[in-house]
Amino acid sequence: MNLYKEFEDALTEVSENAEETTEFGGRFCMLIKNFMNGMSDLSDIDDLIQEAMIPGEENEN
Amino acid sequence: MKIRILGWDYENIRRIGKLSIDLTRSDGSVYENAFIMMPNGTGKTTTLRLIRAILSIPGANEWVEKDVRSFRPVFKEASKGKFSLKVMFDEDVYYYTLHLNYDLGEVRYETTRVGRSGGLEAKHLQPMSMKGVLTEEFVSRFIFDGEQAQKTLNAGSKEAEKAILYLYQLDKLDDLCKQIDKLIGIKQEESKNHITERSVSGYRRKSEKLEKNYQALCAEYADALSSLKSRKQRKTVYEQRYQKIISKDEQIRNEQDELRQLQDETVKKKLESVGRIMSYIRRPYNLQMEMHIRLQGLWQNMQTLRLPRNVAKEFFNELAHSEECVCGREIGETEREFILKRADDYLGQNEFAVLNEIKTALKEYTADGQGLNAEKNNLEALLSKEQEISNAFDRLDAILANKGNQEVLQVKEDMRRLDGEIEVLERKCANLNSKDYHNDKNLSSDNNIQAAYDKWQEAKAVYDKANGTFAFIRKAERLKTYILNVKESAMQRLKEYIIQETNHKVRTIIKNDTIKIKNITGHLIFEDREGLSEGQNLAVAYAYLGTLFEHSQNQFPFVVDSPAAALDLNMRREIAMVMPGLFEQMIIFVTSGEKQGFAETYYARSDVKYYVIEGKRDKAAVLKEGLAEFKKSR
Repeated sequence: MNLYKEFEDALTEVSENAEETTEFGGRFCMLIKNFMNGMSDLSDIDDLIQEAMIPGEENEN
Repeated sequence: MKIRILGWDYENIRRIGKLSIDLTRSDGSVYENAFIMMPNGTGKTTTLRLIRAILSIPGANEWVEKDVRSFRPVFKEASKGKFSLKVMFDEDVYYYTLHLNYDLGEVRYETTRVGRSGGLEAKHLQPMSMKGVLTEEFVSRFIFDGEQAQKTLNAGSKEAEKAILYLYQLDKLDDLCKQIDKLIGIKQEESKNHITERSVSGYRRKSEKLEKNYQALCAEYADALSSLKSRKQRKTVYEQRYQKIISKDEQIRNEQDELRQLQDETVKKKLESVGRIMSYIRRPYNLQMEMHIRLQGLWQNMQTLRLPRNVAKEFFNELAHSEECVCGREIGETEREFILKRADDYLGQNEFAVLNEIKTALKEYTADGQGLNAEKNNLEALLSKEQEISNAFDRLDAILANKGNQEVLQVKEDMRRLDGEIEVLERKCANLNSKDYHNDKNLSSDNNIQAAYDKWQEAKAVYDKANGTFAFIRKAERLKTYILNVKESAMQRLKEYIIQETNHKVRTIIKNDTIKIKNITGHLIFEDREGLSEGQNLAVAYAYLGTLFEHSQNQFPFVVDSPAAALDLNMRREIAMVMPGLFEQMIIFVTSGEKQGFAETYYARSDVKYYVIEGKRDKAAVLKEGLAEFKKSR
């Protein structure tokens, strides 16, 4: 068994439980995986931050 | 990725002169297990340190002179040494050399790649997919020093949890959070302020206050316009009433008509006079003789005529080659030469065109101070006449009142009062609505709509920027929370699985006792017992590490120093039986004392390579290869 599956399950669980859009969840998972593989930079992170919601407010995006 | 160590070479390292360790078979495949027997003091720790320096980043790049010189041979003089390591990453072979200059205390890397991309490079290179993976913390989990296994078990140590963190690279999630912090820092820097909830609130209040001020002025302007309109309407009513009263007396009406005609003419003349005076004022030499004298002085100083070079040069060329000069005289060869020769004297920079225009203007103007004085007198006379006409109107009103119509005076008084109010309101509206508040020091955001709007917009921009940064920070913190939740959840899941698997292995190794891991909180916590014997400790540690390696995404070689020294014979056999199944490639440094019960368990296996490095303290160590030599060695 590859224990990285545990990591992926944890990632999916967090993205599904986050109070964010489905699109954000997908992009969040992709960013984390890419970052773990050394394939994401600051602009990717910046983009995802902009996508996040602010609690109690409508997301402008 | 599958990582294998194929072998290494020493040259002038501590007690070793020149030796090569080859862990490959004749067909190129790698021995799954290797025993390197080295008596204490021969260089086991040194070898592990060098392997770790080559596999990790930054590795030896952080060594100081003292570190480099610590590898200097003890049995002979040598100014240089080197250590080479041959590593296979999947199908690519990397041949690393660490050059050690003992005299200078310097170290440098050299990498030769054989495979998909080849060549020698004076750098410390690693495959792209290993970028950021092979940190020192990570590498020390599979290039093991003698104390590492014990640390995994020690209460108070966090090694057991750290091993999961680094081997499964969950520490990278902390790096991601650091990147987010870096972005927050950039945003804070861009906004030039340290943005807090309180400061954002302050900017918002200021913006809202200025917005209210702007809206209040707009409302004030609307009120003033409405008042102005109603007063003008009332004045029209009074005017109509006044005309109605006047119209009843023919004589008075006729006189008024004449006066009104005269008044219209006077107003017209007054406006024309004001226009002329403005025209005089725009020419300052008409206002002051001193100014006139100085401008004439300037003209005198500009008398040397120069023409714009680009335009006029061609003119002189054409003139020189004409038959006739502009003055009508014939141009011969002498004149032609003279014109061309002296043309330069009259050619200036192109900017001279502007100066020439100024010069012409100075030459041609005529001062007219008398005209201005005359016009001032004319205007004064017209104003006086206007006042006389106004008085004449009042006189007619008085006559009419004397004739019994008192109402006319009241109407006239009301009209005057309204005129005053209208003037005040018109001034107020003009001030409120002026767009040119910059040039009027009496106008500010307290009494001018445009100034108030601009100030509000300025404050709003500051607030929007601060609020944008603050919103970004809140979002970034939210993202960090998600990331840390992933780390925590993944760690918990991994712990549960690893505990289960390790307990299974421990049951196989330790048969005469019941040892069960209950939890991992930094170190391993056992069920129903405070501690383990030293042998049990190591057995559990290897079972634990074996589980971690077994399920790791990347396959690493397990390099360990003296794993069995502290184990009793039974335990040694158990661990020796289990270890090959735990690690894909195992390189074990042992002393002769570990042969019994541990190394000897491997003798029957065909997948083991044996080396012995030994020698007297003041001489270079020698290398012996094979099981027979291994068995013989004491």
